[in-house]
Amino acid sequence: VTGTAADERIGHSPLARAIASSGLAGSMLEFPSAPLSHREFTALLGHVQMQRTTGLLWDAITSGRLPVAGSQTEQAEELHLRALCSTLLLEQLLLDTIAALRKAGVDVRVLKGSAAAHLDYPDPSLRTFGDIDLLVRSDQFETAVTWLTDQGYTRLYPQPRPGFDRNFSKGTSFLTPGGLEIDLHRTLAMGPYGIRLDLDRLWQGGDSFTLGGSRLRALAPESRLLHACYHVVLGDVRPRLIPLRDVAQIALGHHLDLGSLHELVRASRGQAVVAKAVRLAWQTFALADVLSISAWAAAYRTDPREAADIAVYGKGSSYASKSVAAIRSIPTTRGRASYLYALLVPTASYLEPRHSSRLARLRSGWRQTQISRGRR
Amino acid sequence: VSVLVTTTRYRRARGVLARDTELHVVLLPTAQRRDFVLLGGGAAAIWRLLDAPLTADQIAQRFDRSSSPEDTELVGYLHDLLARGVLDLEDPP
Repeated sequence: VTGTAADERIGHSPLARAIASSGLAGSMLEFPSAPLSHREFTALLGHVQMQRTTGLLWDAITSGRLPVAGSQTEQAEELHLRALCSTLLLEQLLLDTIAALRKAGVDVRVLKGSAAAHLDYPDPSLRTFGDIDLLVRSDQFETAVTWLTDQGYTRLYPQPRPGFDRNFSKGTSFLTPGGLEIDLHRTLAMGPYGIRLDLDRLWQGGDSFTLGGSRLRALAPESRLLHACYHVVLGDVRPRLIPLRDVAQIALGHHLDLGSLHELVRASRGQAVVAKAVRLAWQTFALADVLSISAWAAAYRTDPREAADIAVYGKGSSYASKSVAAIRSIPTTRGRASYLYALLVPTASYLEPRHSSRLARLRSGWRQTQISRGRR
Repeated sequence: VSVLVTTTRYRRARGVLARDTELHVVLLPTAQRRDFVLLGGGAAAIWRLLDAPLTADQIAQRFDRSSSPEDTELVGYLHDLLARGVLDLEDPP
């Protein structure tokens, strides 16, 4: 699963990208003409497991795109069945969590994994995932946190000061006693892009899907595309293949309301992020089709300020650098003061697992910010 | 048994989460907190057919085989799926 220098820029080998493009209309990527050797196939299995593309590998095999030999079919199905079992356990947790949050009066939207599987892919088995992601409204965030904590779920990252969650944070994560992860979101990214996101517009409209007899709400396809783009560009430094596939899948699989998409993107000042993610998805999967969104993305010129904002999420980025970059996106002076106070003078319970003192925290944050600037 | 075969309709139990690889169907019955159920072959085909409720007669016809009470293989599959909590019986009208 190795590639060329050009592949290195994209971050994945041609074979890994071909697997992740399986069934995607318009992809020009080619599959090998003969079965992989045992060693190559074993490496491929490891890679698809990490990239959460076991469903797409299975699709490539059963559709005949990827030739296989010997026990390779059985190995691929076994790996995929394991991923599907994890996915079903997560969906059980999703149903339980949403039912209880609804009882507590909390409005919830399902994000990413399960919503993408059921709404964006032709078969939910193609899209596996490793946690559940929920969006709740800012003014209900604390109620949701309280309920999840009361269930015995462990909050992984406490808020620096009371009120920070509902006003500034991206969200937080919980671990269940069984080791499953719930990501509770208030917005879709850390740092400036999360602060600027037009949350009211994000909550407008939406799709729903049925899971285990329950009707669950998700974002509208335009908002799901925005989220997938934010995940690609503002998430991991080297984006995984599955969020890239989500971008292509949503863009190619839905009749998007481009007016509504551009309004949401403009209001959130996310044009450069969406353009970069769409370009990257088109490049990664060698997509021949030109859509309005891909033509717009190809023509979009990122200005230096946007480039600087995106660089905050690049190589060497840290919680501190994103937090500092978020300050000027906070709309009011009072908000900025409250944000800075929370970060500079956090509560003792927040500091305890991380730093020996507030001064040590400041030093560490300053160092991380300088490192991040130096690498830009 | 004849009443079960000819008039009772089988359906997918509420709350069962499913994924289909085309070779196998993996199920998780959430309502009864049971274990995973992995179906292949005839059992997976029955699950796929029960997208809408059907009697054992109707299921047998889809497989182009006898619907008699002696069709013990089919009835056996259905009883097994009922016992595992992935199917239940629709209330008679």
